[in-house]
Amino acid sequence: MKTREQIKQMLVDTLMEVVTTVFSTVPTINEKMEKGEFDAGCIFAFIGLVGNLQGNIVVSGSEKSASAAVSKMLNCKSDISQQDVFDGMGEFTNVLAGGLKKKASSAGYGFNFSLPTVIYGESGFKVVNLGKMEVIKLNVYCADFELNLRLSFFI
Amino acid sequence: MKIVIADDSSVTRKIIIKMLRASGINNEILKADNGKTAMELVEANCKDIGLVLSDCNMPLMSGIEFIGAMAKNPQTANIPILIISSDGAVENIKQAYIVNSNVMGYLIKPVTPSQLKEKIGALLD
Ligand SMILES: [Mg+2]
Repeated sequence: MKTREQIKQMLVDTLMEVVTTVFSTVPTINEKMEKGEFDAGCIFAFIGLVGNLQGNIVVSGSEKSASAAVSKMLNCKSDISQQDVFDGMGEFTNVLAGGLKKKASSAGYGFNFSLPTVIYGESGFKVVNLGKMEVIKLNVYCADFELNLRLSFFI
Repeated sequence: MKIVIADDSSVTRKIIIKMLRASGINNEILKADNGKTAMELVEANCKDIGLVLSDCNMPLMSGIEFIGAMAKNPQTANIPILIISSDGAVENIKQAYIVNSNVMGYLIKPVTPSQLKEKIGALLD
């Protein structure tokens, strides 16, 4: 029987590993405890999960943060295109989903995941989960950017 | 010999190319953003391709389907393949080796420059 704590630990460990390698920096990761479904931000990358872990994973950030994060991924100091920012956010989320899948599979909760979809909207967004799902929200702070991660899943 | 990079993320293709160039690998690179295009590229250039680097999660045709198709075509069946995928689940890794016996390695994203250099250096030697 999976628990919220167990999944949260897998997610935090995955995030730490992925961020450290992808952005060559050690992040500060905090769980956001406040209620409310509305996340401010501007670029959202979404991946659906199906299988023994069912739900979705969303990474979001301001355009400035997302751009700084993807520049770091590319190890590129000059301005990058908006298309690269969208692509990089989608791929970052894809790598997180893959890392979580590896840990979850070992624990007996194997799942498959969709290709990423990137949504761009200036006034923020609200994730409306259909059904009673657990939600884990993590804040990832690095020196140059801040991203939010939201995992919603059925227990 | 040419190297094929099949990955639906343009950022990832750029990162891989940067890593290859930084390792002194200056071979011509052919790029595909899905398995179907990758298969067409590999078939059209089969005599010149020395290595295929493929992602797994891609639209139209997944990486596993793509390398499975390569194994079925005698002209592409002997090309060495290195998988670079975010999917690190044991079942997926096993599947890659089952569908194509020329899978020489499976790197899990995020890949570091040293991991890539070590794997590719051995394959291109
Ligand atoms: Mg992919």
